[in-house]
Amino acid sequence: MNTILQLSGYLKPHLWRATGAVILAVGTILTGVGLLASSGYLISAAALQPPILDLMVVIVAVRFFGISRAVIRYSERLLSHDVTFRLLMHLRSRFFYLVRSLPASKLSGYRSGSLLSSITTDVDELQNYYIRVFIPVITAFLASAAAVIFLYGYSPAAALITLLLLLVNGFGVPVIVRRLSRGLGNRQITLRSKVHQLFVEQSQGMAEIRLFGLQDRKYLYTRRLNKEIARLERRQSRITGLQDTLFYLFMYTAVVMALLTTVPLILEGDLSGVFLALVLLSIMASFESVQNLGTAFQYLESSEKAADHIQNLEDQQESTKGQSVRMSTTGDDLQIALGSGNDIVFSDVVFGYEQEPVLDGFSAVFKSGEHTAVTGPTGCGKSTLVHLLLKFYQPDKGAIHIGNHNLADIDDEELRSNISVVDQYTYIFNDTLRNNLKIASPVADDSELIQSLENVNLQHWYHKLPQGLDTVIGEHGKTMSGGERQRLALARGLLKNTGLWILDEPTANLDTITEKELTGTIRNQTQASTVLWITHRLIDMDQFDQILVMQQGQVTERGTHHTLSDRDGWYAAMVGLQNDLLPYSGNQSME
Amino acid sequence: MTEYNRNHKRLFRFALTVRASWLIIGILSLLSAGSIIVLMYGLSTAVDRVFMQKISLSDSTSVLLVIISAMMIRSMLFWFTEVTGQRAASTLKERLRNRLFRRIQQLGPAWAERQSSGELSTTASGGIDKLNAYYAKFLPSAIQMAVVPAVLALFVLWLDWLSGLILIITGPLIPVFMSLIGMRAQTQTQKQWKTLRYLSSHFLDTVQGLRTLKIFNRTRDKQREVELISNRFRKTTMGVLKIAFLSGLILELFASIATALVAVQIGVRLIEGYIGFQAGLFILLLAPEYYLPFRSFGAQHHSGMEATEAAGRLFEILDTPHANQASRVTATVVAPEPPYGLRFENVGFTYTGNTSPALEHCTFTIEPGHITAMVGRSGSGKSTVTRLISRQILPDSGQITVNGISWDMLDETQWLEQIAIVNQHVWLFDDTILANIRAAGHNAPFEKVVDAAKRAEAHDFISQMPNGYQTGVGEMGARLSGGERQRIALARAFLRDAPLVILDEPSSALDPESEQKISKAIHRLLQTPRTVLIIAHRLSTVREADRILVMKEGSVTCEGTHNDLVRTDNLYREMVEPFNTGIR
Repeated sequence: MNTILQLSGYLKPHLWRATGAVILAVGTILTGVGLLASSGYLISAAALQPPILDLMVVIVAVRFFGISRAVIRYSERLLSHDVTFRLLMHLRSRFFYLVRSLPASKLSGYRSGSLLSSITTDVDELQNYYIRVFIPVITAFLASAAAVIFLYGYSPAAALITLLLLLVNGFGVPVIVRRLSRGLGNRQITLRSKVHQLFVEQSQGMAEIRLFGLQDRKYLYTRRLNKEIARLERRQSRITGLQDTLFYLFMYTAVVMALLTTVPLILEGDLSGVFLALVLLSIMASFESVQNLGTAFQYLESSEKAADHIQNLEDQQESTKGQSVRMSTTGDDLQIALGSGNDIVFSDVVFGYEQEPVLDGFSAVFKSGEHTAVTGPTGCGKSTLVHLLLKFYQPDKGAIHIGNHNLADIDDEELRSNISVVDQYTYIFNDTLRNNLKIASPVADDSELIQSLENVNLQHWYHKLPQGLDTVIGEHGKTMSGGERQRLALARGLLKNTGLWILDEPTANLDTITEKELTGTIRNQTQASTVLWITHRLIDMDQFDQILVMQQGQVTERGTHHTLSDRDGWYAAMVGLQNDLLPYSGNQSME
Repeated sequence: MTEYNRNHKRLFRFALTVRASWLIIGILSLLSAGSIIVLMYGLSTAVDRVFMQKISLSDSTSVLLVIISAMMIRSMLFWFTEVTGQRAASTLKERLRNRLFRRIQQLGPAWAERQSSGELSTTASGGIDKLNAYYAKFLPSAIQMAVVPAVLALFVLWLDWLSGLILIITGPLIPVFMSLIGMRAQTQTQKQWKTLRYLSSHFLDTVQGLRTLKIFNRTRDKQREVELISNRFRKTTMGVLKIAFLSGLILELFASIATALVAVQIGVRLIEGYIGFQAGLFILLLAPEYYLPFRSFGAQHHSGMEATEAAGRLFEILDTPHANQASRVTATVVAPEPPYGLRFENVGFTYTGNTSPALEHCTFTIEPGHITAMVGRSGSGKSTVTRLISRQILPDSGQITVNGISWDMLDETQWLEQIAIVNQHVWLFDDTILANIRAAGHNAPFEKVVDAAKRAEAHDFISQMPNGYQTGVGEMGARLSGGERQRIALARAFLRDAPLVILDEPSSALDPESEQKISKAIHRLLQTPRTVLIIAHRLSTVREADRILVMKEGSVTCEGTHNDLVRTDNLYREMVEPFNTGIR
């Protein structure tokens, strides 16, 4: 019930249209009642063979109901869909607002993908709420009430029976059927996900399945699961099949009971017999009002879940509101801070995403204008440095300073507008090349955009595009190769024009040759800037002013390529391994 | 449109494999039509008796009994129809799922690799479930639409030809108009398809790119864009819906106007005494029932269309031709005895869909009991060679022999049991670590598994996991590093103790620690004499190999030891020239 109120809150701006749609929906059902009722009356009255003129009004009524029902229904469907799409816009806008105000920590890391895509499913789910739950439920109440009141004027007993059975059909039957079949439905969901998993395994692990001779075993297992799913589906249909059966059974019961209770009224002269057919036909037509409630309950459940998620986001938004206000450092100060020879200093930083510390007393100085490489084994905390520098997270202990400014005091947006980041997860929007670049600098004109593409050696690629800057660059950039995507990311960074570059394994998914070329381009373009380059592969390491080796959240080696190569440590061992690699080796290109 | 029709035909033809179910639904529909007639006859008679003849109902118990039994039968028929429809649908889906699974197995790893696995499994599970609507709802409602109105119309025609005529003329026009409008709507949608797709995916796109937007401080601008695009989406979609909903309008219009027409026309003739009251009411009661099947068909039409679209991909997979091994294997001889020597003679292979061959006139020998290394740039055909050896694909031309025995004569299952493959892309089954290693040697006792893991240097990291060997890889799978996966693969190789080992070295350096462990384990594996083929990425490996094969553009251009090749082969020298890390 809470959910219904909360969700209906989103309808407020569209109240007039929503009301209109409900009125039309009620109108559709009532004209249906009207059509059958007037037809029944017409035939009964005509049977008494009055002059035809006496029946003209009824005949007009029958025709009116006949034509208007179709038109009203058509308008209702259009209007209610229109409201739904308006609501969708509202929901999307609201959701987007909530998500963008989330602390950045919620958006990074491996869970963010599922969080974000679940948000879009939630929005889709909620738009159903209006058209499948809200309108049908309100309409059912109003139309039933109107029909029952209408009937009451002729036969109170028949009206009350109809009311009772409308309630049974509208609420009792769907609730019971859903309750009875839920267990079976849940078991099917479990089995289906198992089968899904088997198909995934089949397509990805087929080499192993064949090598170990598991084909038949896997097939038999899948067959068994499929058989069980089919068995459960059949069992479930024996319950869900009751829905329609009971609906019609109760509808006809209402008709028969109405017949039994109305006949005495007629025989005793309290009601003219002319109205008997009218009463029975109106009852049949009135049951249309509760026919769609079965699906309404189904959608209500999923809407409730989606509504819970949105409520969760609302709550988080409440709780983070207070935090982001007390920033003292203005943008100008920061630009000066980053531009005028101020170093970035990590002092004894301790940080963990959960309990385990990822950075455990990390101290380092990144000198202004210098290029620093950070390397170390997987999971040593390299990428965490980036998260902290971008203020996606706050250190648990210790502090990070840029010049005299504590990072904690710098406004998030100001900070980020002064840092260029290229990592391995470059996101290309399903949009034109121009818009994909302009994200970095909305004021840049076309010549600047093209210049940036030339700087990152994308000019050949660019000249082949059919519509130049207006080319939509594919579904999430699928038309681009890995190297081209990373170059685009680099172009974005150049357009942003900042003094500090963070490069978080920008070549991680590229083959060796592309990697070498891209590395060269990045070096050329970032020469004059402060660079923090996180890397696993040790290429051209003598180009760095400083190299840090991180192990278990701490700096274990510090120096230049030459000093570290001579020392018997992780770095020297890694260089040895790298030298043992055949030059053509490297990550297999995905292109 | 043609593809849609073809899918539709396929779906329908497949439905015919459970003919009995559709026949039962047809019979149920006939019974349903009969019960409707009896029920409405009863009701009209009861009203006639009370209204026209002023007879109390207590004198017409038989009429009441007829009404009550007819309504019970009619209600119960809904249940039987739904259960029968679902029964058929479940059977068909079960068969399809099984067939699809087998078909993917037959198409083999080389095919599966080129599919997007997410899309493939979604087709298999989600796609097939979409067919439920087609078989369980759409087809039954189509049968009902064909049977019930026909019976009712003929009956009314017999009762009163004028009313019957109205029904017979209006009824069939409904599906005709609906499909005409449906086609209009379809073309309209296709015209707008690109716009619609762009508009509807915009929100997801924006939300997924949020991290990027945040780094560039662009979330505020996008907020407005989200609203604008949503608004455009609404306008465009409403334009399409205005036409699509016309089919509903037509249905309603025909049904209501025809009902009104029946009522008015009967009313007028009643006044003039051309028809009796009971008959008139009877026909009036039958009119809405006549249009009901059209309505429920209209309601199912959309899900039927959706299913037909989903079926396209499904049939595409089922129709993909596969090179069936059985057809090429003429006879099976006894498996050759290890150690194995392999010979490729003029082998050629081209992947389906590719124009240039992956292997061409490829000739070389892998000596029994020796370590052979294979080097070559990516795309030179190295992995095609390993695929051929593990029979994931069969050569288009040329000969492969094992100890002089032709490739075609080998029993595939027996041959595969002789091979172990080690690489860091091993597939881990959604099971425990124990089961994953044990897959390589069915029913191996626990001690043997642990022993294999120890020799593969995997025991230590497995023991550190929360449940040791019983840890499910589902919980940990995503977090196993490349080096750990490599060691699981090694453990499998040790357990299998295969006479032929194919080793795919990691192409980039792992951490010094895991590199050291892996090379220790590999040396241990090579101590026992076996035939070994290494896809080499390490200088130290090629130095130690007995023989080296140099691959270029699909064939072996040169073979020899490291020292020979460095002296004689330019290509080889170029490929192994020191990498000089860090020094330009």
